[in-house]
Amino acid sequence: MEAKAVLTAVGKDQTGIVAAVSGVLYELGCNLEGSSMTLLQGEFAIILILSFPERDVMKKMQGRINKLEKEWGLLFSFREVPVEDFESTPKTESNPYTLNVVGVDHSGIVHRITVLLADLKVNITNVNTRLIGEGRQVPVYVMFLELDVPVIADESEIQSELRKLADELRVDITFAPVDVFKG
Amino acid sequence: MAVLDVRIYPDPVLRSICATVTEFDNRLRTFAQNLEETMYSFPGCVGIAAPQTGELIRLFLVDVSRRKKAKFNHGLMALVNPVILEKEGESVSREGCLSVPEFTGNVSRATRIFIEGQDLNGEPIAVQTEGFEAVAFQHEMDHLDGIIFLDRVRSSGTDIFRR
Repeated sequence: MEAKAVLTAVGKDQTGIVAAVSGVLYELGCNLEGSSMTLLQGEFAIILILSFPERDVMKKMQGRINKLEKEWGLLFSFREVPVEDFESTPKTESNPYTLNVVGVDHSGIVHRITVLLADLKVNITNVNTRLIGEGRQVPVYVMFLELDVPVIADESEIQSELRKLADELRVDITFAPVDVFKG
Repeated sequence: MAVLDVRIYPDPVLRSICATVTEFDNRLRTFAQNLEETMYSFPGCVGIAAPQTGELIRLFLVDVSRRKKAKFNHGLMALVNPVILEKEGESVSREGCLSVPEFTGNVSRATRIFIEGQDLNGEPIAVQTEGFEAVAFQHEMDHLDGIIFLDRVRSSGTDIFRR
């Protein structure tokens, strides 16, 4: 029986982390179905969706993970995900949007904007935030979000709510559909 | 007219260099009609290249007229033996492809292009366009040289940040 799992790891960046982690998976005959990995300042983070040809193989994972933790200083989490969860995930029909925020840094920008999005049933699929111009007198905060907006949502309502919030937070918010070329 | 089968990657025809069209006959025009019907059979599809249906010739169609937001729009165009003579600017947009289903990615393309080629009767045509339509031309043009958009995908917006 095939089985699936999600594996995460975070740790101080060093050359060879991906090679070491994927090497363990390869040895176990485990497939890497999808991954997202990124370097944020000095920290490297990994999220993987794994599939195992046999559920039994999964039992070997914990030992391998412990070894990787010691050797590479990574903090892991490992959890089985029922195969049905992948097959039956009910997907609300939605369209991709991007939301960019630029402004003078102050606390609460991420929280206030994401609370509003959650209230509007907009799902966040990707987040990137950075502080730019550090060391300068006025650090600037930038946030790029990728969103799934339900087809039934009212785009103009989202726009006007975001505009109000932008004024209040004194930041610039650009919310726009991703025009996907298809050819 | 007929809807043709669309080849899906890793079908090797998608990696082939297409041949220059030399015969502007009824066979070519019939094929272009079928290609058109195939393109319109996919909702939201704005372009298709001959090799996507297994026909290894330098021909593609573009029609962005049903995209409200496409400012530059020449309607339905069939371009044979096209050559991009000028490219200007650079911008990133999200692309998908009939031959690579269920995946979209960010691709960097020129924002303005000047393209020359022939119509289905072999008469010379030239198009200057920008934005979404320019992306469409460049994406379809790539198919004629065995290039798919996955070759040009950049990872997401994080790239623009200094790490």
